[in-house]
Amino acid sequence: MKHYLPDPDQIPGEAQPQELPPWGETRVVGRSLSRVDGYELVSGTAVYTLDLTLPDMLHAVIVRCPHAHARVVRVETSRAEAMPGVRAVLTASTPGAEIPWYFGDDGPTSRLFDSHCRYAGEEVAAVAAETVHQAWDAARAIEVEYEVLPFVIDEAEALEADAPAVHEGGNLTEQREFARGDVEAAFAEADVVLGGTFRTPCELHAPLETFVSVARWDGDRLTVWDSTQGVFARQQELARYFRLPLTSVRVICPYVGGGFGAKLSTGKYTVIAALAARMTARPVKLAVTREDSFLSEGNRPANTIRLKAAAMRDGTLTALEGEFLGSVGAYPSGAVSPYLLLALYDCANARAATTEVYTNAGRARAFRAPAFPPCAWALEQTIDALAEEIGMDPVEFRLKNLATVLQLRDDLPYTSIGLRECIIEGAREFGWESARSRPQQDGHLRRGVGMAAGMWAYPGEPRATVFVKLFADGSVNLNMGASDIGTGTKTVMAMVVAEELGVPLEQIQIEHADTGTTQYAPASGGSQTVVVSSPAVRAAAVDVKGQLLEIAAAELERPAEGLVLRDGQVVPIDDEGAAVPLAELRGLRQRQNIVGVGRRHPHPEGKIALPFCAQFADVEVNTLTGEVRVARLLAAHDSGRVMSYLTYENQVFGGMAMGIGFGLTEDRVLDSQTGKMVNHNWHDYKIPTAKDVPLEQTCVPIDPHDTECNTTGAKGLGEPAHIPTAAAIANAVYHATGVRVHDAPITAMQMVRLLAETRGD
Amino acid sequence: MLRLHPYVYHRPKSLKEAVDLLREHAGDVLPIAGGTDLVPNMKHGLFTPGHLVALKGIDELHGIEERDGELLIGAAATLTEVASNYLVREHFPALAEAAAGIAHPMIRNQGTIGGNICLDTRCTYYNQTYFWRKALGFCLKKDGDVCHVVKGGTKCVAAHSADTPPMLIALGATVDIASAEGARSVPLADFFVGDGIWNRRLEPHELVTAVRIRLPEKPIRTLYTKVRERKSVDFPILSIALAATVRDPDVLESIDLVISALGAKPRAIGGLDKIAAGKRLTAEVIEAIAEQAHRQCHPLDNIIVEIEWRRAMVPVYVRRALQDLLENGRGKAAPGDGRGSD
Repeated sequence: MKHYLPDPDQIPGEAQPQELPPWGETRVVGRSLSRVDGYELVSGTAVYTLDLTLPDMLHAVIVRCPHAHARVVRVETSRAEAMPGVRAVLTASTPGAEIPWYFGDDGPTSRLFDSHCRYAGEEVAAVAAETVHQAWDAARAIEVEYEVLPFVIDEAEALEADAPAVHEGGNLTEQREFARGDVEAAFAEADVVLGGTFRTPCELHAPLETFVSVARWDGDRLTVWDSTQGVFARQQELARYFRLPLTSVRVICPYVGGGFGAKLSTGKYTVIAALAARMTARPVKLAVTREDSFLSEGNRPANTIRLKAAAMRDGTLTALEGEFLGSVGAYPSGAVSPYLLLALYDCANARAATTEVYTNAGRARAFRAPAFPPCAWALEQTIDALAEEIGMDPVEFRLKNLATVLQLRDDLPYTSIGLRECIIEGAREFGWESARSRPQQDGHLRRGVGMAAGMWAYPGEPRATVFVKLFADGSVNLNMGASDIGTGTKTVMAMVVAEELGVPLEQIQIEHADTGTTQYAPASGGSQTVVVSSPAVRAAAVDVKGQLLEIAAAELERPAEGLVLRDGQVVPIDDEGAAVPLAELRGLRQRQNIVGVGRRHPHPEGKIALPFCAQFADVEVNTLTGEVRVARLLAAHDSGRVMSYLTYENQVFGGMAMGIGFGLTEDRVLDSQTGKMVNHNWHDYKIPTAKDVPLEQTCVPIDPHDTECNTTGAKGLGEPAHIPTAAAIANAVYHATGVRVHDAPITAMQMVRLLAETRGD
Repeated sequence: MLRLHPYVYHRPKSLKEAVDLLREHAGDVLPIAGGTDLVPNMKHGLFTPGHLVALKGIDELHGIEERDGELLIGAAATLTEVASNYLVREHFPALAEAAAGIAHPMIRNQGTIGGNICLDTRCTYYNQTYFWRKALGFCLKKDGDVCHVVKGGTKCVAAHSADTPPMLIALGATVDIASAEGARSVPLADFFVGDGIWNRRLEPHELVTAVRIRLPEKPIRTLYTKVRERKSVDFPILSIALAATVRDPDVLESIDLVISALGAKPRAIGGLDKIAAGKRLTAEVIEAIAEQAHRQCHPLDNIIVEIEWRRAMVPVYVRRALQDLLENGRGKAAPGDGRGSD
């Protein structure tokens, strides 16, 4: 996470606010309620940044380097500048455009327009014009002369001595080592030692709404509408790039068509839009096209993971060792993570070494549990192989080796750990035992089942401030900083307010994700949104409730403790007939509104709250063609309390669908002759279609009733839902065929080759 | 955004008007019906005609009907219309299946059978943006003189990727072609040539107006199946069309097998009468046909799917298709094969 989200341990907790008792039985929270913005979403009336049109708005486009590695020799813009409608042309030499660029926190590593282009798609120039068509025509008219350089796209080749240098100083970005216990001794003493080298594909970001910003200046104040996961992070970065006080930068995030991690950090397109807006004194919109977003706006890098593991015949896991290699692309980012290897199972002896390198390819970005699915792919297949080797059921072997503390952090205890229940309940609901012993049919179709476990590592930033405002008529305004990137954040938070204030969801209006009018909340990433913001929302609602009940107690001449809020009324518990609608409270009318402030309390001291999961797959493999069909999937998740059942299920099914892509179809292809991406469109980059996802998907929530993690009891869900899917499919493929597929995706071509090898053809 | 070049858009109301426009602007004009193939290609800078002649407003090009012992399908009939038309479904169900499996519903609602017959060939190095192609240097098929697939190659190997032509060829269909000079007809089996640059025997000023299929006098069984990576959207990476005249019970009188998506033209597998005519579809006969197909099919590296696998799949899918033909003779892929039709 280090490249994508702040380290929560570096964030001092605020003064402990009044602790709220955990919810008992809830009336709203946890139910299957339609999304509060469902109508807008499905009817097309929801306004996304991509839909925004401001008066006098110009359209900007980016000219990109077509070569994998090149130096810009000359940029000729005169023809473009003379074209109709063109209002600004920006290049590296444009005054104001000499902006040092930060990829991460370790100082600038590039410039807004870098004359050293390190991947095909790097920004070279930009044009702003009256219409988007004029802008593209002008972009085509900009002549760029390049000195084409030798390139390297393979991560292993990047480490060779004579490899082209992506950056001065070489291609090695980072090497890290982690170790505990005595791995060598454990391997020597083990009954069984096995391992292998696993490879996972580079996956491309493809949110439905591409990357887009609209920028407008009012004097020295900048307003940016942005399709972003976090307005406050964006505000800070824009303030740095333009040397402005934070108060002069306002970032607003309307509806977002998906982020998946790609919209956490600031893209150059946002700064280019703002720069063009300043130069022209006009609002400017810059929407990155689909093809350009495939090139430039992020990916989950390919991983090569060499894994070795050892166990005793009694089922004790005794050693784990992994070497991880991955490329961050052309600029600093993260590529690999040994976290699962070091944390998921109780294993006294563990060692991991990671190597990350630069290559001439698009930069990696956070991608739904960044390097966890690759690690799960390798680890969970190895665990399966160990179980088989010692003759134990994979479920039983995992249950025998579950960690109960976070070994990576000096055996830090968890606030709750429902992994055991995930595995047991999941296996039961899935019909694991009967499916495992299902006899194979004769013929070329083989069925098999597999499972994989997972966990997620980010507990969230323990800081957020939320306002809840009750109007005189009993309707409510919820004001929060978090973006809803399509996950249902608004629905979850409205349900929390409804739970505490007893007002119907339709009576709650939400303002969110605007640095000018809402309060700080962390970015909607790292599966932290509900974890961080829902306790703050609850605290704000409880603040309003306290004030309201005080007014009501005085008017009804009853003690506040004897009153509850329900259906827009104050109801005396022992005399429901005396209920009074909120709008009839004189004290409320006099005040006109009641404002509650809620803050996120610090994380529990000396403990950590993390989510866990286990997923199960049932597949059918055609041994003649190598085609793999996923027949059904089941996910059992411990993400704490289910806040909103429908959005919970949405997250789980969406995460598994992405897992099918990771395991079976998705793979960025770079052309070896040019280093250029071959499949940068939605036909050739194979994201599963609705028809490639099984009809039979089951969601089994496991709620360990965690009263320590936070005051709503929720843990993260978005990322864990995606972590073990592909590994579970791979284990099922093994169960069906006896073929251990080390390289994802499991294409039919690879499967046919491996089946032939297994048969000894 | 991929920009379209400037062009004049003509909306003729009659075929005569259309072919006159094609002659008048010869060399700088293309016809457009659904545009599902042409428009993306124009956005990639692969075609830049100054004039487009729109065909959908021409009544003569629409309609599906029986006429003189033939099924006549107007070139402007959409793929959805072909897939759902009761005459097509009654006489040639596998043709309906072939149309029903193309791309996805929106494409089928817009795309036409004439356009599918005239679909441009596809290649990894061709179906790319101008931005992409200019870095590698242009290829044989467009603006260049080298082939990036076959080193030193002088012949374009872009793949024929349309679904309905293999089936239509297996059914012995004929295409009607009109131009300002008059009308002509050509068997679809002779329509395609093995040149990926322009794989049709169709002059630029000519127009496909209809496709005709003789209604079978004896019962036939037809089948169309294809391989693709996903169950929707994707172009085929291997397609198999079968039409067989069968004497009861299960004795083959004749069999036509057409395999496509491997090279620049659909390949009608030769020598099948010798293997199969007058015989039952026994395991031996099926195997012999599959082997014959395997011998005659040689895919090239024109898409991002391993050629060894594509070639190895030819006999597998031919075998399966023949078994399926034997069992029900419809266009459906075998159940549970993981890659059914759309």
